[in-house]
Amino acid sequence: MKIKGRKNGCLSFEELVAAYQDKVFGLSWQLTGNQADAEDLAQEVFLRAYLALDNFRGEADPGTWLHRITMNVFLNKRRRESKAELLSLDAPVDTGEGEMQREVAAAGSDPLEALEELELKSWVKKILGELPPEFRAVLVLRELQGYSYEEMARILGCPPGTVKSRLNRARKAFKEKFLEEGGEW
Amino acid sequence: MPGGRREGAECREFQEWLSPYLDGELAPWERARLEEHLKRCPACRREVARWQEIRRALEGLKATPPAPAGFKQRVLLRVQKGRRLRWLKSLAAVAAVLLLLAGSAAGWGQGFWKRLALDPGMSPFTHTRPQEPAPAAPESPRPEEEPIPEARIREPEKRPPEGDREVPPPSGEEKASAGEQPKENPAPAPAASGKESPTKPQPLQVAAGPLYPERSFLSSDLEVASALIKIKAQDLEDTRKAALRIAGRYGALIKPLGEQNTGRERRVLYQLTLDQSRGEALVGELASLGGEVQRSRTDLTPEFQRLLDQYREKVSRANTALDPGERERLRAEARDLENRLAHMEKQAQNMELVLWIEAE
Repeated sequence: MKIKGRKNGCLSFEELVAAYQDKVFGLSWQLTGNQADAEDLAQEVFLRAYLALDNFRGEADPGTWLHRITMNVFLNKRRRESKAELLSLDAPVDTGEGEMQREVAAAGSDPLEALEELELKSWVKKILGELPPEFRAVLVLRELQGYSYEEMARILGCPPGTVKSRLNRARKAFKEKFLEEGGEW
Repeated sequence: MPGGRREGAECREFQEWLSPYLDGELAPWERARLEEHLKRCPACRREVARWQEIRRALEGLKATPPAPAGFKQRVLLRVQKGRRLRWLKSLAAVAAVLLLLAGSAAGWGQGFWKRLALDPGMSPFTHTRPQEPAPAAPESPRPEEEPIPEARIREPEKRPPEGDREVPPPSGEEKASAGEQPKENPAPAPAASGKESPTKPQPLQVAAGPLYPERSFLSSDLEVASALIKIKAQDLEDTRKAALRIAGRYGALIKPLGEQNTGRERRVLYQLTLDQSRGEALVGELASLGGEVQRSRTDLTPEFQRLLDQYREKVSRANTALDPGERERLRAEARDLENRLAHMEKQAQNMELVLWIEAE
């Protein structure tokens, strides 16, 4: 099945999906924390992208454009649901364990230290999942995707100043949650 | 340090800078000032260190699994489904345009559109007869409260002389009523008594009254083909002329549906009706102007069969009813159904296209 893109001389839609599915799925996974929700979100992103292919003109980087759609879909969905339900970022993820082990092994030779690190990581995941979506979004974009403030501003559709203050508040919220959960700062 | 909150004025000032500092987003002079402070302030140093630990912990989440197998195919399938849905929405939008136009045309199409709203099986495209003056819409069923000009509806003289009739020829009453007085009221007393007006020839009388001639319908497969051709034009006028020239060459009935100018975009809509046998070729030619085509087929067979059953039942009851009022009511219902069935048959012979041209 071939669905053609609408931009002359550019990627067809099918090629766009093929080229960027991992990137979109990756961010979706980081935001939702599990495979099923991530797939739902990522599919939705490409559906929106298909409808908005005409607006894609002038975008330098399809990846950033798709990430912007990902954020919009994610935040709108979460706003609609609006209930502060816990996300399953801490739920066991089949693909997560291997990564975790490898990192722990790389972290140092002291098993106790490694265990501590592992616990911290699980904890961080859990807290991240419990943050309001707006805060989780900026932390994921910054900490996990490594976007600059400028890029984040484009993705989130707000001024860089807003990104800066939101990140600041997100970190404060993270810290408070961390302390609430009995963490030591 | 549980709680870890510092209340010092200087620390409060620098709290706002810690986050951008961690992100490398401070101006050089800001970074220099903060680093000066960090040298003196163990609490803020600890805060930064804690964040760096957390950042390391988050590192593990950077590695994400790839999109699952079959993801692309699932997306493409959903897109196709979505396109079908949008196509249906396009139909609804066009129906809305038609409805508006019908409403603005001195209400001539009103009865028909009412009917359309009640009858989802009917295509929104096929009811108006573009080349006829507005009041003449003989194919359109009318609401029962409107008087029905019987001459247009029955047209007994236009029916095939044999095979189409399963009952005796129309009575004198029917002929008399044709083209003269619209009758929606219960039959007048003479009909009940079997008496005919002296002006009515052939006062053939059957049992309780004149029989309603049942029309034969070929209730085979009835599918309505339609297509929306959406063309993004560089020059709207040129494309419009070219498209209409092509449509004219195919002998399509062309009806302008509307024109819109949003300031940013201009679009024009036309309804094109032509025989199904030539429809696809026209679609192909129009698409070659740069159009995106969405096709649709609506199977009218089940609805047609349902109406046909109702029609036969009404005719049968009308022809056996003893009460004149009841008989007239059933005849009116039968006529209405007959028109709808005829309309559906005609619909299925044509292809309905909506030509949508837009330019920025």
